[in-house]
Amino acid sequence: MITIQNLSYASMIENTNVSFQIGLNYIYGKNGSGKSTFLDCLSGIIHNYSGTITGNDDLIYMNQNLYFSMKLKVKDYVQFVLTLDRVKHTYNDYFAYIESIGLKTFLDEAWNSEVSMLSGGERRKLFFVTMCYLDREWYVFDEPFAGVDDEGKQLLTTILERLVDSKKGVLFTSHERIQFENMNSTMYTLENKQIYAPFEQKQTAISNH
Amino acid sequence: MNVIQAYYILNMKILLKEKLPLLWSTALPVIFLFINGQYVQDTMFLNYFWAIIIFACYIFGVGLQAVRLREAGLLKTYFSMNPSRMLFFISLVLTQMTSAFISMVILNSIAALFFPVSFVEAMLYSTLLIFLALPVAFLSANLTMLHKSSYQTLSTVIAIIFFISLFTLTFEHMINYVNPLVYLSQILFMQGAFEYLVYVIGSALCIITGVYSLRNYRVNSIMRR
Repeated sequence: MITIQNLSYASMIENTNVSFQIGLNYIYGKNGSGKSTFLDCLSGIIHNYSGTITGNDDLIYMNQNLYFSMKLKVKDYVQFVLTLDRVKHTYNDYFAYIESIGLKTFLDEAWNSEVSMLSGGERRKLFFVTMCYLDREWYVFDEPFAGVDDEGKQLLTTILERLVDSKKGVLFTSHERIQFENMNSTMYTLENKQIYAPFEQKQTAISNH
Repeated sequence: MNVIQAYYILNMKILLKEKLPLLWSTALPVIFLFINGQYVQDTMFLNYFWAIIIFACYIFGVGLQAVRLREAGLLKTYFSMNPSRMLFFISLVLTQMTSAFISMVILNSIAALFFPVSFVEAMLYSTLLIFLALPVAFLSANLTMLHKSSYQTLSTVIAIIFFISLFTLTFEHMINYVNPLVYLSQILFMQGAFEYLVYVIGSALCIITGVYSLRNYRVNSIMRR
């Protein structure tokens, strides 16, 4: 469980208390509401916040921009990520995983292509599935569904389901409300510089009446 | 080691694919070599051109590159996998040492073909200079502490300093008292205890401040969200 107590950062997040359980969690918020900043704090990219965050020691965080040359090949990207992650894995394991999520044809065709030859959605798909292959307790994604077509969204959902089935924690942000058909998810809302849990939202709604 | 290996291989692939930085650090000294060809009487005259290569690699390739990556917010995901700033920095330095070495091989080969210089001697001294100038790479890491300055501003200022230093390098001018290329090129000519002491103290300062800057290196951009 990730627990956040009295988190404040700059003028974007104020005195937020929230906890995320293992399973599927997502934070809904309008554009510019501070979702990315919150994930930066949670993943340890931003240190100089006030308050405490615990349970975030073993996570991977995929933000919207990645350092990678468009002129390099897809295989260079995979090699880089696997090497950076201490190479507990072999390529055979990686390919077996890719096959299990139905992306073997995609990866076979793209393997020797330059990353620039992939469409924006394909690049996002490649980065997303490779990050999900790595073994972590928590997976944190910033707007993973943005700019992805319906087929791509279905694939990402399938991968998220697998992570949840493996007792992993998933936390992502979205500026759209998302319904999952086969999975329980907990939606949080980020507004007015604070994150509200579902119960708090209901309570707020009742108190508004 | 895996972190250094991963970034080093990635950076080298990027360097070899995107040839402009390599061309920049090689073509410029070669052009200046031919412009000043009449002065090239022996191998050690090449030290000015070696200094140009090292400045281009260590300042533009290490410090400014770290600023660029921070500004674009491109390192967040990888730093969430492994947050070691020092290993990332070492891989940048190793990449630029390799880049400088490749540039030296090309420059020294051309110099040996057209001028009275020894290729072997030139390679020995230029490689030595790559190592002796390493504190400059640490010094360049201090650029990352200039949080309020954008990459564009910093790279423009450094490019102006670089070109002024370059054009005044080979003739007598007061500005050479503060010319970083002159100091870089003179490292190989240190003599006497005093000069060695200045080098050691200067290097220690560069390394200490550089390590401090790296420990405080933030990968979240303050220039864009």
